[in-house]
Amino acid sequence: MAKPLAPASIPDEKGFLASLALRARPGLLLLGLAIAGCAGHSDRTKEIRSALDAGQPKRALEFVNEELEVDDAKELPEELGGDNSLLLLDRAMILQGIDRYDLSSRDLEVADKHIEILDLSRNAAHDVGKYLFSDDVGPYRAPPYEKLLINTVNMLNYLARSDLNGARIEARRFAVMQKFLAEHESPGASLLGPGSYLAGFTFEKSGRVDEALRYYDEALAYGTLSSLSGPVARLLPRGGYRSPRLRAIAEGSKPEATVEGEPAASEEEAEILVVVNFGRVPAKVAKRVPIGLALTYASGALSPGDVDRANYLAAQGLVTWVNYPELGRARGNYDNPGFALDGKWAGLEGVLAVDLEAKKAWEDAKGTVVAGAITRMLTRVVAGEAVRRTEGGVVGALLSLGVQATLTATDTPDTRSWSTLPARMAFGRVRVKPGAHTVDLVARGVRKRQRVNVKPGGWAVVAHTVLF
Amino acid sequence: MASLIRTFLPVCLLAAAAVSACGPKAVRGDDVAGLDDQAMSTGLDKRDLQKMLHENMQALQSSAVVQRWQKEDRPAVSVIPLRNETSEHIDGVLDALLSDIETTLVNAGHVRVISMEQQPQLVEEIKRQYAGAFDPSQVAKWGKQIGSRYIVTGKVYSADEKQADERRVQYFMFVQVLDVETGEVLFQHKTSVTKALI
Repeated sequence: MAKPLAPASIPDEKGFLASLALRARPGLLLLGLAIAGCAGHSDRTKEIRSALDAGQPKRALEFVNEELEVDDAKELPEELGGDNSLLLLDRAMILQGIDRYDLSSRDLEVADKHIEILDLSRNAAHDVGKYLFSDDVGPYRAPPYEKLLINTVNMLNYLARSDLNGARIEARRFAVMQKFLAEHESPGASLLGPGSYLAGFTFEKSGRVDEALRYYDEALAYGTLSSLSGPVARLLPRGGYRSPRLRAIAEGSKPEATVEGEPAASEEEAEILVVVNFGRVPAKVAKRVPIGLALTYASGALSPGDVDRANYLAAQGLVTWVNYPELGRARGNYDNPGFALDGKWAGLEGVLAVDLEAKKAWEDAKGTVVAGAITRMLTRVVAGEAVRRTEGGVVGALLSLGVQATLTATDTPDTRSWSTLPARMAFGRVRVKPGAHTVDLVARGVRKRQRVNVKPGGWAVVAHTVLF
Repeated sequence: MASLIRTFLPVCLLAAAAVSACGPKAVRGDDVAGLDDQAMSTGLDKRDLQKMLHENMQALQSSAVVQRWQKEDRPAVSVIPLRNETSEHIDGVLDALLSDIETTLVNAGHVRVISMEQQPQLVEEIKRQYAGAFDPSQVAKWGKQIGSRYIVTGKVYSADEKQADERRVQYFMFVQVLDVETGEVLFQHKTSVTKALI
């Protein structure tokens, strides 16, 4: 059982902390000067998000290119360190929004590889640094929903280009990540409706029935998806994969949606899948809260000793506010997107509330993050106090302030996140006669019209991404 | 002032050394020992391709199908794209391997190689068809279209696993020789390569 740390123990640490602080003074000052100039990720991406809010994706693209220090979206940054891989994810979403699926794919693939290396390179020193110096020390660790969305968004990029080969590779990468998350996080963390839906669609159109059914089964485990009842009913007699969920949805299947309003669905018919991504997930922003409230947030993640110490320092008036990252507000999550085929309205189905996934991931992590912020603040105060008591007098007070100011300057709340993800994803799926069709998609008042030509038994995927 | 310099000089020198060592510089593979040996990702690189090519071609040279080719007086053969069934975007690398296989067949002299480079549309068509299940009758159709008696093709699979501190990709490459007339597989050989981030 952890032994509570008595407030009286602060002077006991005086010698060690004082000598550490005194010896580290030049280093701390240098570090402080170096980091004080670096804004958090939220500040770096503020202009990008503002341009998106204004409905100017091309302007947002210019800002993200400036941050990446490249002339245009065809270029990759020289370095993928810092937050550049995260900025590539941001750029990939913007590129998808302007139908540059090829460049979006490239950015996602580069970022996917780099984020994986970052994940594998995290070590104990980064975790210690997070508790001692700054929340954003160490490489970015993407939450499960972001990791799964990298492959999901890229699958959509490939499907929009009718590239089943590329989509299958992304589907396999998605499956590898799902397995990892199921084994290392929780089975629930590995579920993501749109990823499984698109993987199922990819394998269905590749003629691989059992793989398609397995992915559709996963998508149904994530949520109710009525648009899958027809495809599952069609696939079940052709495959060997079975599950109670698939049988149930197939038994309750209604005739599939068609433009012509005819229920029959022959093998010669083609199919159109539309994906509408709209709104934007809440970005993380730096926030200050009173120490009392912060201690409530972190109650489950702090040791009784740290709680006692924080309360003692709060009572002394040495600690009043705590800085930590908080989620802002999602945008556009209440919009009702529309889908019309050849001038007739067709149904759309909400498949994923990304904003709620972001909120859930943040709620899960919040206690630990706030606990880290409190621990860093305690470290600063204790180090400052130790210097003050060692030097004494005015010099001690000034040095104490200097040490605390330096450590405060280096402490940046970790506002890193994939902030250009859409808040919501909606799917629509209809069987059509082969030939030319006009697809109209509307989200957030932005309309996209695309002509598609489908062969007998063929398919087309149309995406519409509006990030505000 | 002197004490200030004493304090900061080592730090500055260290920082300068660190900064000067950080910048990348262009190098030539022949000038840096072992540059081609270093694995840089879980994708396939030159060394992996050479290993796969060498093992597959060696098996082919000693197979019954080469004896058959010798009796047929240099029949026409085409090498068509290998199917990528992995979790990595390695299609470009597999296309390079295709050219390597062509080169080896040309230099061995048993067959006349009809290059697919002159038929990019057919290559695209073949890649599109690979989206679906493998269909030998389709291969026969392509063979006739190209004017080849035999088709050399293949597929690459992967077993991809990730742990907390490691990702391992095991590649399995199958190279096949198909008879265009019958669709029969006359030769098949498997090689494997493992790449990992550890």
